[in-house]
Amino acid sequence: MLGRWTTRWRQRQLLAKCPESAMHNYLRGELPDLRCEIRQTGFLAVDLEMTGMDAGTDHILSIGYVPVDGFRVVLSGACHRLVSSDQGVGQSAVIHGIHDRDILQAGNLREAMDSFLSALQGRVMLLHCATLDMGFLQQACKAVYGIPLLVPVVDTMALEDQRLQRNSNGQHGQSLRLSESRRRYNLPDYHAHNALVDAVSTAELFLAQVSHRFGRQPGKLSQLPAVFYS
Amino acid sequence: MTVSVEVAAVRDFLAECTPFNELSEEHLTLAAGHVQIAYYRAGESTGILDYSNPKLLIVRSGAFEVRNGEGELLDRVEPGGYFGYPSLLTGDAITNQAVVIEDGLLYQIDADTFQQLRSVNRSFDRFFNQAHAKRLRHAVRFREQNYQLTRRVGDLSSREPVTARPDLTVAEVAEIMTAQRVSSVMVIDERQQLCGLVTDRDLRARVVAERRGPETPLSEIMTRELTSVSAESLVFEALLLMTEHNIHHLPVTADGQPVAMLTTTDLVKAQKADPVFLIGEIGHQDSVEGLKGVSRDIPELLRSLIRAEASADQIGRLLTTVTDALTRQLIKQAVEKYGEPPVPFAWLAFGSQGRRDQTAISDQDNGMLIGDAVTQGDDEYFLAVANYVNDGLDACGYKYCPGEIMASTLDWRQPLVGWKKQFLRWINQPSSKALMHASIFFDMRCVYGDQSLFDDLQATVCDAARGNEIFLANLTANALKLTPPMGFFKNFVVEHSGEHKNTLDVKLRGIMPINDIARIYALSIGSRQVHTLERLQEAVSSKLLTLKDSRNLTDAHEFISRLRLVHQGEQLRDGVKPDNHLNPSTFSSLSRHQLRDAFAVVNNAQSALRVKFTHGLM
Repeated sequence: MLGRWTTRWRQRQLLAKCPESAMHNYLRGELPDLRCEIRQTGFLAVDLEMTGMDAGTDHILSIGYVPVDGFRVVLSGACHRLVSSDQGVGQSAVIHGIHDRDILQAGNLREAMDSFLSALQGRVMLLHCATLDMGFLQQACKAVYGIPLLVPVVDTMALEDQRLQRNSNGQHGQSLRLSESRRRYNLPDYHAHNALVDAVSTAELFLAQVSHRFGRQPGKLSQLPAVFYS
Repeated sequence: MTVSVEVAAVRDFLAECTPFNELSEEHLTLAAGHVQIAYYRAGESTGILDYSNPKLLIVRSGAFEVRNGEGELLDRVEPGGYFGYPSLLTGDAITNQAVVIEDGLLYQIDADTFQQLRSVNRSFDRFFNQAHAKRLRHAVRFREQNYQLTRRVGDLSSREPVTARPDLTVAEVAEIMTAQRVSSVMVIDERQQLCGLVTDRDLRARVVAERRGPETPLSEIMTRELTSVSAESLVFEALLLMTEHNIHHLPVTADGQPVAMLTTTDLVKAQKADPVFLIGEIGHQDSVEGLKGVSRDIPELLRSLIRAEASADQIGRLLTTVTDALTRQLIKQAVEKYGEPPVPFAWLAFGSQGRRDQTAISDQDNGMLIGDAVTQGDDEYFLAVANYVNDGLDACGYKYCPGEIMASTLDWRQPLVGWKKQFLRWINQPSSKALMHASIFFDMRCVYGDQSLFDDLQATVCDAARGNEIFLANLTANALKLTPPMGFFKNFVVEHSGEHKNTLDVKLRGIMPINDIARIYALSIGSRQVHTLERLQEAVSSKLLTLKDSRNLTDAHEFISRLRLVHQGEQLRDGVKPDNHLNPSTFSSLSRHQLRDAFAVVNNAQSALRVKFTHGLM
């Protein structure tokens, strides 16, 4: 979690260590400025399916993402990729419905990360429950490019927690799960689940949260629980 | 490798919305891929409709209102509804505003994608066509082009399949077949797959003739080499198969599982539903009993016409042709029984039979017009004939008129001079109350007998009615009492209680108002036409009605009539007494849109009628 100047410094430091790659291109570009107006900022809502919860031993099975531009979820930029793996899906197939046969044809982790990084260029990442997914993304970047991912992240779960705490002066006791959080904003239930549908769900939740917090008034990224990860 | 960029949740939602459900898989994916999603909070109103950058807006959740520049409410849009598209169609900047009533998501589709979808899919284009009425008209015409006179097997075989397991004995299966009144049983294995067939003939040829015992299992005698068809096969194909293999039973399957049994009897029944066959049969009957037997096939005729997607107008004309044939045959039988008439007469049909728009439920509305040479003593004869025909029609399913508008009622069995007097009283001394139940008399037609008597009466009526402002104003006042059942938010106003709760009477509130409008226009110009659509055409020729308005009314009439016919066809299939009460919540979203538009057309036409004809009175 870094400040603006530390971020610049960190960006140069990582760039120096990074060989020619999609990560190199990513780091050469501008990173978003947290002083920006939210409605003018580009976001990329992301969701992962993993074989388990431990970034150390488990791995990414699929990645879904969709951009938010001009405060709209832009489906033409949506992407969903399965990631091949030597380890197989194991018991986790029950949760995400991805089976070994599905990922036989899938690309490898590097291909997935390359296109993900090019979509992320200049954007703020939106995640629901950022620590879990960020753990896996950092692990993946270290494995593929040898360095961690430097990116500003808004966690819609933290945002929801913050709002509920404010409204109830502390303990709210309400569920922060994606589907329950969405219902509080009159967002529809999506029955089909995969990484992309959940990324879209996260993006919509974010639009709703910002609309409720700021109305039509301007709001800055720095007013949200937005943090730089590295 | 990119597996898919399709967002299933968005695509699935669009796939349920008319007209997106008309798009091919490829174009649906294209549409879903170009959606942009925005969220709005209740109370917001700026930036939703941006006419410098028009878009199609689809409500995904929440509720939105569209208001015009003066702030008047134009539409309230709920999930699955659209707004913003008129300016995409016309290119005009419209200064409407959208207001968020309830927090929600809007799916937005950009102009380029919208125009592309319009160009690749005709029904999509038609749906969004600029004027409501125009949109409606296209939809009706579109359906008419889709004629499918080739019927499918699924339309014929009606009953649930009777099945048995192969380990049942022939005695057990014979009991089942007797109890279920079927001549065959389909044998299914443990996976519900069809594996054999046993027919009456098999029980004779393979059990009794071969001296096998009643305990023989079905598996020993069933036919294993089966020919079957799917419900989607054409009847024609099924017929060929049955002829080719010389079989009388053809199992209908879906994924190997039996869904129905098609028999030669089903095919014969289908044949009987041919109107030409039916009218031919009517001409051969010399008793009421015989006609009653033939008229039992009328519901099947109606159902087959509906399935063949004949237009409501064609169906109305055909059914009326059958009623006319029945009426004529009854009169012939009566003349056979009571002898030739002492003076010439004409048999008059009123109301729906007069207009040639009969449906599954039609009461009798008729009368007798007798030559003026008639003497008092002759009435005994005419009463006998009238009773014979009225009773005969009732026996054939055309119920006695509750208002007793029948030839057996003395008032409606009159010499020419009596009828003229009656009509002139309605026309020259009108009161809306007296006219309330009289309007159906102005839809009269001669079904049998002396045409010159009828022509004389009609000429008198038309001359007296033409341009008669007071008479027309009274007719109009009555006609305007029945308005389409639309509420403020363009929702349907359904009945809230009673037997017909949550339904609309589409005849009373949709079809009759159009009949009334057409009648008033026709009478005002002294037209002899009684068919509603032809009356509308004459009104156009006389410059009373614009071509556009007349087409809109024609289409609204066709659309509502067709909805009603489909509803009645379903009721006949389910063995329910057909009625005019439709539940709008059972319609597809396209039908709902179109019915709303049809009612709007009726509403507009009623306003125009008010302006034209009631200035002398109201």
